[in-house]
Amino acid sequence: MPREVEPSLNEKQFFVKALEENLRIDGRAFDQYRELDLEFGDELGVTDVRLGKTRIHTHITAEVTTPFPDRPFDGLFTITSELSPMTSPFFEPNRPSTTEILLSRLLEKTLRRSGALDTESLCLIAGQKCWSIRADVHVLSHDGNLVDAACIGVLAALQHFRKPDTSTEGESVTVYTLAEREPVPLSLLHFPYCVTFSYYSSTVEEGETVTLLDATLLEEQLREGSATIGINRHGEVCQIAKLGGVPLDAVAFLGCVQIALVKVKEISVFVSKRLEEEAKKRDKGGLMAELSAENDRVS
Amino acid sequence: MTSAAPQSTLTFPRETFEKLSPHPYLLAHLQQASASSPPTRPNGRTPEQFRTPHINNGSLTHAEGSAVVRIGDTTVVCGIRGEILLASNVAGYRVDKSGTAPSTKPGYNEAEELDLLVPNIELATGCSPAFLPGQPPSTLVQSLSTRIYSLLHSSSLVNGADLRIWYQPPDLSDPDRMRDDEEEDTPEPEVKAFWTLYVDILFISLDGNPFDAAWAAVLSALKDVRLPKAYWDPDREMILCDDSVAESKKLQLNGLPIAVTALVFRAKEAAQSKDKRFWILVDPDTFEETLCDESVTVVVDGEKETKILGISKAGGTTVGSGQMRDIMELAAKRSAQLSRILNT
Amino acid sequence: MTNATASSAILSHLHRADGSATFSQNGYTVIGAVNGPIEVQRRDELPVEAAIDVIVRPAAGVGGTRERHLESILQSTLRQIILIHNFPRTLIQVTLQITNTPEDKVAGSKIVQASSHLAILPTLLQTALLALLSASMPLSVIFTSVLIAAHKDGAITSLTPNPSLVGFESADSVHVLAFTLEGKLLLAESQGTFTLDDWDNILEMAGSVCVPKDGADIEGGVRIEETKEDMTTFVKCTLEAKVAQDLHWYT
Repeated sequence: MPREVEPSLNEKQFFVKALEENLRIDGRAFDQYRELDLEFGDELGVTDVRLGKTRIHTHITAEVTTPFPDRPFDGLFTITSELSPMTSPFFEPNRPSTTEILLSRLLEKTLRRSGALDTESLCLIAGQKCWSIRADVHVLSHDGNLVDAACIGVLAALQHFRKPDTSTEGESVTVYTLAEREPVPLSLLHFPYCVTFSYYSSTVEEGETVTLLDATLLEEQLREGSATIGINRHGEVCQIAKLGGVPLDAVAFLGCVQIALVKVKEISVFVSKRLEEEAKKRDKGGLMAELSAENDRVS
Repeated sequence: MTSAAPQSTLTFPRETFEKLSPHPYLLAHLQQASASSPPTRPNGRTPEQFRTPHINNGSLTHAEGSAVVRIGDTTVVCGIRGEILLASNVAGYRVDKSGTAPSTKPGYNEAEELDLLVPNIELATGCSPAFLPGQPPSTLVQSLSTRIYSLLHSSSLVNGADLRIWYQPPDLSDPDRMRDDEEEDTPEPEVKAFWTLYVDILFISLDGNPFDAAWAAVLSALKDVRLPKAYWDPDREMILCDDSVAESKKLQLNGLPIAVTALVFRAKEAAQSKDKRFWILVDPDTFEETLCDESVTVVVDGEKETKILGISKAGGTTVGSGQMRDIMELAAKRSAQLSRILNT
Repeated sequence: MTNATASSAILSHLHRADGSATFSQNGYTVIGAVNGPIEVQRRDELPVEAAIDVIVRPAAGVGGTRERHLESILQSTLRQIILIHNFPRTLIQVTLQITNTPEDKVAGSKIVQASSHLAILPTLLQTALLALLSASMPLSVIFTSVLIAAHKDGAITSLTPNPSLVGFESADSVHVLAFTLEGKLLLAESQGTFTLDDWDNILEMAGSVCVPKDGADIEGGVRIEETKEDMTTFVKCTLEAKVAQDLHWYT
């Protein structure tokens, strides 16, 4: 299998020169995200996130299973992400690359371990039956900053998803089909989004570290350090991952958390706006139409 | 070169010719046809000739049903094990039978929905030089097991009713009151458990045509299955099985579908060549399989008039409607031959 | 939400793959990407032709035996149309990601794995073809495919091309057929109970859906109305639109 092509010396020098002049190659400000677009599929719990040329498709599914014996009151929530050769021929199927492992680790830390999804609400009969929620993250196109985009995708999909309604009678559970009963939304406790910072120090003047947000693939390949901060819009930090790279000033890093909070607030507003629009679109022929028909008869 | 080497024609023994240039080797065999003798394959069969099948039932004592099928050098063992699946353990199982439940829609297949038939195929190390020990299941194995699985369900060979274990709750109401209140029926029987059939297929040796052999083995083993009488014991709250053989039941199979595979051998390997001659080789061996792209598998059930239960054809454009009719005729013949053996 | 049976396609929308296509039909949406010819691993290398690697990834869950079977059907079909002898000792990689399957309002809560592999096959085939075209892969011929459901009602068998999910599940037999541009049968996968005469009718109907009728003028830039149910025309129109878009500067 061919190896990923590294940026050429020319590209490298051009990039550094631009940084010294306070410019990014695509003309963005240092703390500016690329254009974010969020679309929903025909099915519930399907999202398609586009962040510049990065594109991530997320699919949520629910199934009734048996809970783990050591956690009888908790439902299951799993996130799987795999980079296929569709992203780039350098990814081999069934052999996880570093990018892929990092992506799943960070999503796991930010979304699952922070308790974004209330797993106790997924329990149907303690120790016997529970819901298993599964999020499949498919990276369709990779142009940097997979983690932030995937996080938006999964959280938006979880909010968009509806699981089938159930009723419990003693020991027997009835799962109603979508035609029988309106499905119910998942219970989400908070929405931690990720913001990734890329650091460049040796390339520019002594003692100065340049920080970029939402790096493209080229910027990711050339960076000397990175940190991903998972934070919700109330300013509660859920996880911080800084895996080696250039050393950073602690106070400056606190500044990064502040920037992350601002960005996360923007992202939250965007996602809720899109979800509202989507809900309106879905409701067109549904409940609203029924209600209006009733009103007609009354008047 | 020099005069020392006279114009000797280059000759090899048969085996060397076969190894060096397999395609011309097979072609040379098939082209030899004259008016008196039909074309013959290297294995001595004519293109339309099948290998003789040998079937032996019930050779595994611990399985509910088993069969060993030998077709030429392809030998398959199939064992069917029955296990009990409690209805309360099925995660999505619904007790109510209201009009909107999923089980009432057309085309609902309980055995498929609950995974009551589980085929598993293993191509043993040593059955063919192509399989090395310690490798993950090959594409061939996975593809075969999907085909067996979907044919098992699409042919609805096994009757879903045979796999249910019922329980009739005793009528506890007072007999006197019953007379007054005629509307109160006896309690409805309920399904307490299901039989799950694990169909394990093991290839002992493989010399081509794995699907036909595997399917014949599955069919023969299913015919051989005897499930013990199982009942719900309300006191112990578990399913018990009856020991007596007289109480055990055979499965009611719907028909006797037979799979027949044929390959298309083209005179020229390249698709664009002018030479359009081709031969249809039924029941191919491994050597022939490596030389042909296009394969056709038909599943026929010749009980009354010939019913077709499946066609899968891929890998080429030679077979059209006309050739398909020829293959069907051959399949019908094979089906008659195999069902005779299966029914004895 | 969208018209369930109408086909739609987008070409070359993934920026790092050599060719890509999204194709929707019948409620199924598949995104396909083609990379190649690229370097091949030693163990897969073929001395006189290109190795073709097909990867099918389901929308939810990991690929199982069903996906492997679909991959092997696709692989043997694509091998026939790609000029593999032009690229010996290379690899042509086709990745197909299923992103949308029709919503089943009456199904239970099982993650659908057991369902028949035939329903998705035509969409996968068509996506693979469009992705190959988008990658400018030299092909010997193009093909089109269709899914047909047959319902038996007494002695009469009614045929529905591109059936809905309910129509598919309640059918007595379902058939996937693919034809080359010359109208030759490239692939046939049938399941259910039917007779040879039924199959001949199905073959004829599938041919009329896939291949334009004799004399139908599809050359010369004549735009055929979108409503016409003919897959070959659909493929041609999609490509024409794409070429026109790419060459909009060229007048």
